[in-house]
Amino acid sequence: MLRLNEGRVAFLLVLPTLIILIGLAIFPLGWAGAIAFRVENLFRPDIGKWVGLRNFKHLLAEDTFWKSIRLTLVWCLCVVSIQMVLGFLFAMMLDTRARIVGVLRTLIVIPVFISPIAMGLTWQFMFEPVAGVINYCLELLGLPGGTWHTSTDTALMAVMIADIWQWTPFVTLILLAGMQGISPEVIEAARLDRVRGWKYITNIVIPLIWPVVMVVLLLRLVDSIRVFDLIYIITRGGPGTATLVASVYDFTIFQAGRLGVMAAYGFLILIVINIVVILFLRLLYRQEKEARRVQKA
Amino acid sequence: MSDKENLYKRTLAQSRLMKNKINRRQMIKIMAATATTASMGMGSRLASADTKGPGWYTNDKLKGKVTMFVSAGQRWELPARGVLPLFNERFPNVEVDIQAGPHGDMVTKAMMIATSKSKTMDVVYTDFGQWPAFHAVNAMEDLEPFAATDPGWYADYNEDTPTGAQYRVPANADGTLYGLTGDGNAKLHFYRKDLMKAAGIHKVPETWEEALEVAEALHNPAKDQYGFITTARRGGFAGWVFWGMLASYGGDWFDKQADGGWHPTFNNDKGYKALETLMKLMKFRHPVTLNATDNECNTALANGSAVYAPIQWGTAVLQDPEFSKFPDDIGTGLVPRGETADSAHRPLMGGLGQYVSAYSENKEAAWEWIKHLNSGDYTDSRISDAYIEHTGQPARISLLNKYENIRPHFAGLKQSFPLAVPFVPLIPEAFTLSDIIGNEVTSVITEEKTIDDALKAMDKGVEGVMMDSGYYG
Amino acid sequence: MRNPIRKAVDVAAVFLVAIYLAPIYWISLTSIKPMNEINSKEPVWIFEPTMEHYVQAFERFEFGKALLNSSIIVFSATFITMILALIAAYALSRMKMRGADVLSLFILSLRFMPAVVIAMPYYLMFLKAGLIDSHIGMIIVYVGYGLPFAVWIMRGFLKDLPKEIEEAARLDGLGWLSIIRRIILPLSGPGIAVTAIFTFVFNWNEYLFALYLTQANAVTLPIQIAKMVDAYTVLWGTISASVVMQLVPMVVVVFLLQRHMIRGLALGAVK
Repeated sequence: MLRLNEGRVAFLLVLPTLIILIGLAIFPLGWAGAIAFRVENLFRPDIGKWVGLRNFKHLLAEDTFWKSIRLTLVWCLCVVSIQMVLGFLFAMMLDTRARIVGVLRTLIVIPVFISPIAMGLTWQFMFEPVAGVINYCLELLGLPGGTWHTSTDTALMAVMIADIWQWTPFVTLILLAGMQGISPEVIEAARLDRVRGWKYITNIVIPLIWPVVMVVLLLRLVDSIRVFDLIYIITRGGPGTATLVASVYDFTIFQAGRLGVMAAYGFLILIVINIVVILFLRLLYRQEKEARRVQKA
Repeated sequence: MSDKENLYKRTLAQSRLMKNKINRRQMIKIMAATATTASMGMGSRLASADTKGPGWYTNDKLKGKVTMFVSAGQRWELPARGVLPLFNERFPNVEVDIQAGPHGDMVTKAMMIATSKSKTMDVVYTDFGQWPAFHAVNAMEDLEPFAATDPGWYADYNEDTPTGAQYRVPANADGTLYGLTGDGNAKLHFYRKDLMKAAGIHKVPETWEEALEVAEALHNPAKDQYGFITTARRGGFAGWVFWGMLASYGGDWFDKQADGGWHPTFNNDKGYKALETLMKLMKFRHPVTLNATDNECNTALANGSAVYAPIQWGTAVLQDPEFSKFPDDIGTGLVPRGETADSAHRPLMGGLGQYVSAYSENKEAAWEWIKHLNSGDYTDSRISDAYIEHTGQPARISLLNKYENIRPHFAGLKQSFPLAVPFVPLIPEAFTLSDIIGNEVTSVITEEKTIDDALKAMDKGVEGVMMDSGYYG
Repeated sequence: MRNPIRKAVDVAAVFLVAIYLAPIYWISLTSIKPMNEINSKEPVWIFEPTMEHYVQAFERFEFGKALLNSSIIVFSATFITMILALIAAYALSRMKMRGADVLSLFILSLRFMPAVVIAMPYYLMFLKAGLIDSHIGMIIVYVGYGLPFAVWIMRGFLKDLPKEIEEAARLDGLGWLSIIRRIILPLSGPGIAVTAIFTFVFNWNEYLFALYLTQANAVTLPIQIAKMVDAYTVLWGTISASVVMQLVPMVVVVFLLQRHMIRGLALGAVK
């Protein structure tokens, strides 16, 4: 039917999406872009003036700003890598042809669905050092209780646990889907060739599910950079500044009414994420080419 | 004179005594002259079926829909819903739609509503610290003309509500009325009576030195008892704790809150003393302190893991058996003062109130609604009964007296109001400034900054905001 | 005869899942505990169960209405997003299009800005358009906010399907719509399932936009849960009850969707 200029047809198919996205993004991004160069206070709308790069300069000169960037990067690195590794392990465990896989898959993905607000409050409740159930159980087992989200030393770790608990099942689900798609012939062939254990994982499984791995890896990465609800509910960025990741810091700036600084910070985060994602994709693209060769074999 | 009129006169007399408008001798004379058979407090409601006061009236000709934005929960939405049935009785043709939002984001959302000039909200139920910001965007309707239609009610309101709690521009007794504030709160001094007795302490601490002794004495982590808790969450919360202590040492935000002034005054000996004392108290802190707002503090006090909170917003939950495990053991008093010569008991004060939106299309009905919400026994004692029963915390002195026996912390509030100072400077930048000083306070507590550096940063940060807003520079 | 190691792993898997859900058990337990047993220094295990929190969720926090709003808004938004995303992803991944990669990245990057920065302009936009506190408004926002991720995920899955399956159809002269309907759709079960789950969860639990763009009419569940934290107390019991009540439809939806996660038997046939 439409063989003429496939490129044009393709563009037309993307057009509705583009129109919606750009339509909804133009004013907000434009607004944010404008006030990033101004002093604007939510509580003082009558006072707004152009200050050029001042908001950016102040941010870059602030200790808290660099700390929040550092915290965000640490967060992403730890959370994404742990989720991927654990998710992979769980997926391997659940990769069975037994009928129970459907039930297990459904149950394990339940944490993903719970509202981060409700879950954050629950973790706050469970992590409470004095009255919480986690320390209670630890003490029952003879282990020392922890300070969890109440100490600057352990707060980031505590919130990481909450996030990892909630999202590892999602990674598991997707990786499991990839694994279950490996055709039985390949598995049989590997078995006959006596490819087992570690070699099996690295030479067969991973390359075959690599496209899926890439999707979920990038997804979790971008999600982690933008993490907000969970951390905000449990610690509000505290104690002090121990868990003040990018989005949380930006929100506290908003609550203080300093809209100009908030927008400036938002743009800085936007740029940083863009750079990280592009670098990441470059890295993964090379791996992907490698994986496709294995697939074809 | 009927019993209920006598009752009314008696409660009014008590409040006038509180405001030093009459002296003790005069009050005793009034009490003798108005001897009644009915007792004070909730019992009077049951005893006499007729609860209406001299200002009672109804109006079934008034029509319209009043939409009110309020924060969900205690002291906000609940008391409003509690007095709503009575309002419907008085004004059967006015429909009131109470729309509640989450408390945590209430400040920003209310500000967005006010700035948006939206006609959909007729009344906004707001925190005291936001008044100046609303005024700056002309969101509030001048209430003097409305109040003038009922001089008796207005006189009663003025007599009964502490001047510091009222919203007027300028902020003195002659200012124009822009909102009604039926709710008042003060930072109070919460302590465990039973534990203090067991530790041999029989005097409620008056100075911070004495408070430190109590905190140390009651501090027993091995038994899950922590000697100090306060709302030290980063931002405004920590800022207000610091400001409360600064006030008690005789300090203030600015040199002068008028033209030519507005220079911050944190970096001095008073600021130093305040932060230093706070750091000493922090040695005994409950683990959640650095994350805590009132929520976490009250939970810890209610389950007994925190046993001493010398600077904590008043609340009914600690003495409520449904939430607290120690309803009878928690006592309330005046926040301590410093030990220096400039020190004084100066607890922080805040409150909640309502204004009528300048863009509302139902101003008369909206006025009647907020008037009803802020009415006392002058109109009908059932209003205040419902208000208190549904977690209301009144600013009216007569009501604080009347319900003291069922809400023990009202005694602490009564004691504090005459001495109290506002918890924020009455300018729109209030929350921005609170956030700035609060961030410095938490950086000191987490040992990221020295006290001197933090105080300098406070001055600099506040000065920067004031300059941007055009106060000077 | 099944590998005995595999069987042991199966058993271990069941245990893993059972233990992993421990916080869920805790939530369920809390939802039937009386309030002052919840707030005690040590966790209480023996108590008299009560339904008061469930009742309060409905009576005071309008759980039924919020559930209805959330369902209408999120299901509609997710459905619309899926359709648009599928078409766009197909175009970006399988059709010859210059700059497909750049365009995809651009689409995704629109969502890198923290939500708080764009909450205020959205409020102003919607105020002007009269869309505040409306179901349509919220659906529009969620479609706009979910599309970038949806397109990206779908594209990832679609790229992975081998080229051969389409070639036969194209040689037969089938157009893009038929190709999508008859070939892509049946084979992209996992991609669609994953995208649907992700988009659904994202929209269902979204808080910030719902906070500023709704008032009383289109209020969704996350707002109601946030209201259970008031100035002085946290209503743990009611929060737990809300979570439990939301889990039931979730589990049903996931169970139905996850069946489509198995793909590849047909692919194997192509090979």
